[in-house]
Amino acid sequence: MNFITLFFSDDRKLDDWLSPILVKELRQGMRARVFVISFLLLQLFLIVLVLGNVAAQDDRSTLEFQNNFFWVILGFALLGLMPLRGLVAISLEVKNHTMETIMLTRLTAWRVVFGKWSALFAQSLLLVSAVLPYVVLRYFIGGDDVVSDFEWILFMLWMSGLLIAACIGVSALGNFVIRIVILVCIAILTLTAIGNYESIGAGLDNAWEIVAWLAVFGFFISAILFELTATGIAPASENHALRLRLLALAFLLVAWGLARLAQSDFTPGICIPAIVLVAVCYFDLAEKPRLLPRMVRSMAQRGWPGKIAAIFLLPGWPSALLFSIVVVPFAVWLYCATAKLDPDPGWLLPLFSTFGSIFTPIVICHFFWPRNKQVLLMVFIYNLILFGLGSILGGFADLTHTPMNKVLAFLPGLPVFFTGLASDSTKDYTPLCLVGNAITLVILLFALLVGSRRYFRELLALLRSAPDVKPSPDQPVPEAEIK
Amino acid sequence: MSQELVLDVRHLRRSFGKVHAVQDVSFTVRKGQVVGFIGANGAGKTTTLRLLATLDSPDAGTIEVLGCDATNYPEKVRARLGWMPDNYGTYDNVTVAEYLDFYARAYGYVGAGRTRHVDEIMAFTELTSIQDRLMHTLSKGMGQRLCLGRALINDPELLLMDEPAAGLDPKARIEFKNLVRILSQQGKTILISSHILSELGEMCDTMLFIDKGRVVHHGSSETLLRGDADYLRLEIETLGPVDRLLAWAVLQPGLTFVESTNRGARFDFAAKEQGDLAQLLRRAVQDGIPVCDFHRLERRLEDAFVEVLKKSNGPVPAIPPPFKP
Repeated sequence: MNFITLFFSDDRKLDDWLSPILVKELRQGMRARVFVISFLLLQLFLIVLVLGNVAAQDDRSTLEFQNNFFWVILGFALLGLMPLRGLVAISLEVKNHTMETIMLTRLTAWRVVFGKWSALFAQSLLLVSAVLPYVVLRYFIGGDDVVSDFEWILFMLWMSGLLIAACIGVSALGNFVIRIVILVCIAILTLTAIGNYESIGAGLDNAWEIVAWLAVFGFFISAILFELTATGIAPASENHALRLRLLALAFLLVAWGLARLAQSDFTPGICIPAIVLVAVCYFDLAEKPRLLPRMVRSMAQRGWPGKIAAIFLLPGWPSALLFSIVVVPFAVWLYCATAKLDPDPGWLLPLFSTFGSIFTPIVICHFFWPRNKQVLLMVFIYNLILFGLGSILGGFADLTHTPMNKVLAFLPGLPVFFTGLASDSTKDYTPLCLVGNAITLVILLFALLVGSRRYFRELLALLRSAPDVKPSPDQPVPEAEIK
Repeated sequence: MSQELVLDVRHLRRSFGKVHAVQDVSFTVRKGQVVGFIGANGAGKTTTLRLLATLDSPDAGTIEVLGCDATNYPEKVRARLGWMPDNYGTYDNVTVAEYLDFYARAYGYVGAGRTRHVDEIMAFTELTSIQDRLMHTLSKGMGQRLCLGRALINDPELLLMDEPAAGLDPKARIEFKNLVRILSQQGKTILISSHILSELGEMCDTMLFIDKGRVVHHGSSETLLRGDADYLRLEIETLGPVDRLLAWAVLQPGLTFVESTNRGARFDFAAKEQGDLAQLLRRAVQDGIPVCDFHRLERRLEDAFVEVLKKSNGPVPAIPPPFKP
């Protein structure tokens, strides 16, 4: 059997190997007015630009202006128009009630999201392929460095793919504020990641280090965003928490591996996945627990690794709590180890503060406001309030030289903002905040663990009762097992 | 009709905050049955259907579709059911054929087999002539046929339809009823929800009445129409003044006035046998009532439903405001 018969046997055509979503989206997208108009306008603009290049061949400043204009237009199409179309990719399907009918098919939530991304990225590729002949022409007319141009185009494609993933990633989230916050965070992370070109440029001399870092960053951030979106549309029986948490952890470990291999100082490269891991903890802690016997059973049948996974990687805040308790300190330790920081009790403060800033709104929402469905928004608002409070106190402490934080030292999360903003070098707030936060954290943890007792009791019972052999789907499930 | 259970719902519950949309719903449906799922707006029809379609998870209770647990194995159940929601979404820039082709791909059909299958579905739902039309330009009737075509694309054994005939003109309704009849003859099990009883009367083998999230009646339309009432409803029209008829009626044993009509009145008559009816008419003629019309009124499904509600709840409840899950 040769290659052709392997792929095209069984009367399959080429498009049968593509995702159904990709085929549908491409059919739809290529007819969309936004794409057709932007494609035609780009062609028109490029023709005018080439003619302009020919006319102004001797005028260096005009050529430079035209060159800049070329990149702005291409950037607008790749980094503006295409990602913005992803912003409504999922929400429109949900609003039009088409997502439900899609989810009833064999397509999993992840395949739907990936199909959406692939379609938009394919359209970005199409735009780029339409630009390539002009890039070559510009080389002959204006003498531009064609290799550098191709590098830039590749970089813009990478950015376009990442931005499309970010926009699709937030498109399933119902709350507009959360969408914006996540987009801003991703933008900051991406800028930091790219900024590492400069900041770790001293070490990142090797091209492979830059390419590897961008590839790792792009892959993991996109995959995490796809999982985030898939969580929003998937049925409860699909465990996306497992993949989301493992991806975040894998990102940290791969970045750490890269740091070991790279000759450069890769500390910021560890910092980014650590932040992403904390963000994933935020997201999962906001999720309500739901114990599906089938999910627990399928994990338990994988032996003790499956049973451990069931404790740490099931959807809902109780398992996310245990996951956070284990991985967040690990991330901080990994960062300290990579940055070769001396062990210092002062490092416990950001750790306690991070935990505090996550756990406080979670405790409020799960125990005092259980009907609130916007837990993630509450986490954000809480941290926003702390930031405001920290700014005010920081400024006030600087002005009056009074330790304003004696009482508020117990407010979890505050020191992260406060110590950073108070530049009063005469006072060291660390011990007070450390003790205050430690006390509060113990109380919060105690409350959360007590609150999750019933969940873990039921989980352990399910794990114990899980049969060794996978039950047939046709076998009726005992009524008592449906919670 | 086969005895094989297609749907076995036990003690189903679903609440949205303080709203208890479904409360302890239990019923079974056998293979090949066409079941009408009837209730007022907000009675819990759509929520129940969404639970059956695995689009939502119950707070309690079990759903077994063709012997497979729907909560724990939704993907197995999904492969065997077709879902037709009340408002199907449209896509811009997608033709009828492309829409069905997309779903055929999503259900795993490939190559020429897929094209053939889509063609068959379009022929069955009479969409072939409009296969190249963009779907957002379709009329309501065409859209419903397309939606049915989409629900049939995986050749489901169980078809769940939520208000499929709502908003259709009479011609489209008749066409739709015919399609349902053919599907039923093909052995498909169909559950159709509606709040218009007359729409379902002709189509369904059994009726499932739901009110305030509870099943209040489950049986055939005949048993519902017959009910367990021990009286007949009569309409009598006279040539003379109606007052004379009413005065006469007061004196007749077993005859109770219900309401006046233009030229007569309606009564409930406690008749034990057909002969009682003949005797009543004879008495009216003998007493000089100028009867020009004397006939028995068929009980409407709506009346039967109201009666079922009365029995289950006491007074007829006000229709609860619709909620959006």
